[in-house]
Amino acid sequence: MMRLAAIALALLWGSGCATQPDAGSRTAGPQNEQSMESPWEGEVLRVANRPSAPALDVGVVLFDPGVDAKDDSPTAAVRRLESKLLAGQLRDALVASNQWGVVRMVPVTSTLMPVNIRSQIIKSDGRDLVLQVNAIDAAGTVVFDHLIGHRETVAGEGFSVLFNAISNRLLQWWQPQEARDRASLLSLAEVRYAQQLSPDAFLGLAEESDGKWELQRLPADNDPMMRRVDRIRNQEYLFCDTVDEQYVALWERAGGTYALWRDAGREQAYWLDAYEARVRARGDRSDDSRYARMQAEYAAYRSYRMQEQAWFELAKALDGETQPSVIETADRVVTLEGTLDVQYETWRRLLRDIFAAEQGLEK
Amino acid sequence: MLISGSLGQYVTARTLATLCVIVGLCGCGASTTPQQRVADTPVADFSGHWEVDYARSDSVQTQLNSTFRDIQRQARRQRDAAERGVTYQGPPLGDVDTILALAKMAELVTASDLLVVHQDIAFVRIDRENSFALVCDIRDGQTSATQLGQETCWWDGQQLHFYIELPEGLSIRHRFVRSADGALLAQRTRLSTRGTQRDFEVSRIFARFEPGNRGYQCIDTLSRGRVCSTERAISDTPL
Repeated sequence: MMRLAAIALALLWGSGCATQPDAGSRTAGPQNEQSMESPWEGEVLRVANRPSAPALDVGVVLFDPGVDAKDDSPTAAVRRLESKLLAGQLRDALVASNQWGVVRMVPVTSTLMPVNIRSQIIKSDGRDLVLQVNAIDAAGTVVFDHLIGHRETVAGEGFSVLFNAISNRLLQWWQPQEARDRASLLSLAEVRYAQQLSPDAFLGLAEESDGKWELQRLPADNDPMMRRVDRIRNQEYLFCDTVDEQYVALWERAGGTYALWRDAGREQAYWLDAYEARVRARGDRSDDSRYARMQAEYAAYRSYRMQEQAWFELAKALDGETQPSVIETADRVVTLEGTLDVQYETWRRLLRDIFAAEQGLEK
Repeated sequence: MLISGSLGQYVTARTLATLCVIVGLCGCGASTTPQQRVADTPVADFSGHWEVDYARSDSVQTQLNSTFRDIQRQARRQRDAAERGVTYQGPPLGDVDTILALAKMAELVTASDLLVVHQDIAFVRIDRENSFALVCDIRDGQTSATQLGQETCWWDGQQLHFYIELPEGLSIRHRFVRSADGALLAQRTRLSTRGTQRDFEVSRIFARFEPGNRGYQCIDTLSRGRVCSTERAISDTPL
């Protein structure tokens, strides 16, 4: 894992980290190639006075923590915590840009939103954050796909530069789109959501070919089924609001400890670099006595282990502060339990059942 | 009193005898490159607070003197063999600088006078004063490798092993064994380095103690480090 991360970082900094989507293209393809031309560093968030119409709603999928689901170590627990906290920070950056409609955090990629941003944590040690980020729209087009990273050099600096860059890249794709294409994408998203609720009822409105969705026709403006879809969609938004509330509560509860964990991790990483630099500067140390060499080597190992264990203790403390909680929805009958993914799936299944039941009544 | 004193001495003597037998056995089995052998037998309970018992522990200086006496004896035998024109068959003498360095390292590595052992069904963690904790997944052993060294641990059915290997060749092997009555804990530490045949080994015996019964309490503070104060007598407690 360490090696993988090191490779990723080397790749990242070696390449300047960025890919620049073609601003002129209306449907961007996957872009995995690295470019030297526009590094992420120093990226300033592009802020608008108001979102351009029609506004694009954005779904921020909770980050993939990049650890095995069975891994119950404190380090893995921190990663899982980060997957929510960092998603929240990305959501905050998108909101702050004022370029978008509603920005919601969703547990998994969802047809609820016309575009979803999906991220995986490749490396996070307090000093370096490396993410694989892609955005996919309702048509199934990968808007961008980047390996991005940032090294925190000053305490409290944070990783906002990465989130600014993601918002800016999304804007570079959205801004040049014709109004007609924008409206078409939003309609496609609505139709796909409706199809997911009841594939038979909305058959033929949108069709998929080779992973790409295309709008075939629109439902009638006064279609009563679409009104019911809207109502169900609003219910699903309620769930997303719960995720948002959870994020705020989580940040209040664990944000301070998480900052400490990051500080400790950063200090440890810099200490290790400084140690390696000292060792290189000393050369073969053949002039040192046997004892001096052994003592230096052991002292380095001891310091590293002590720091690592202090970091581990912080991770354990964080784990203790983020025990899963039971969510109760406004619905007095249904109580959702388990992880967010499970709750979300339960909630969506319930909404589908409600929709089917309503349709049956109508018939 | 006499009876209880004798009993106490008997128990202590028996404990020591048991410990000596076990420690002696592990001494025989020691080798420079340990063979990891994870035993199915349940791990002895090491948990608790332990403080070094100087009277029963090796002194590094004594061990060093003993090593040098051994070297002198071997040197004599080597010289005698050379004078007789026969080839010396004994172990190599070893580099004196390296032995001295290992002895000084042994002092450093075993400097912790207090151990606090936390143990559950899966993990043993030995917190050592002013050093890093030795942590082991006792279900199936554990290896952790960093740029600065590699650490392996395992339970062999009698002893808990920790083997630390540093990149330039220094290796440190700790073995922990508990006496049958649970009153004493032996830590046997063997240091060796690449390119020399002679290891340096030192034993430290720890006695169990209950924290808080000693008339003083210590806490770790950020600004002043470890701060100890005498415990308040019951009569001092404000009403």
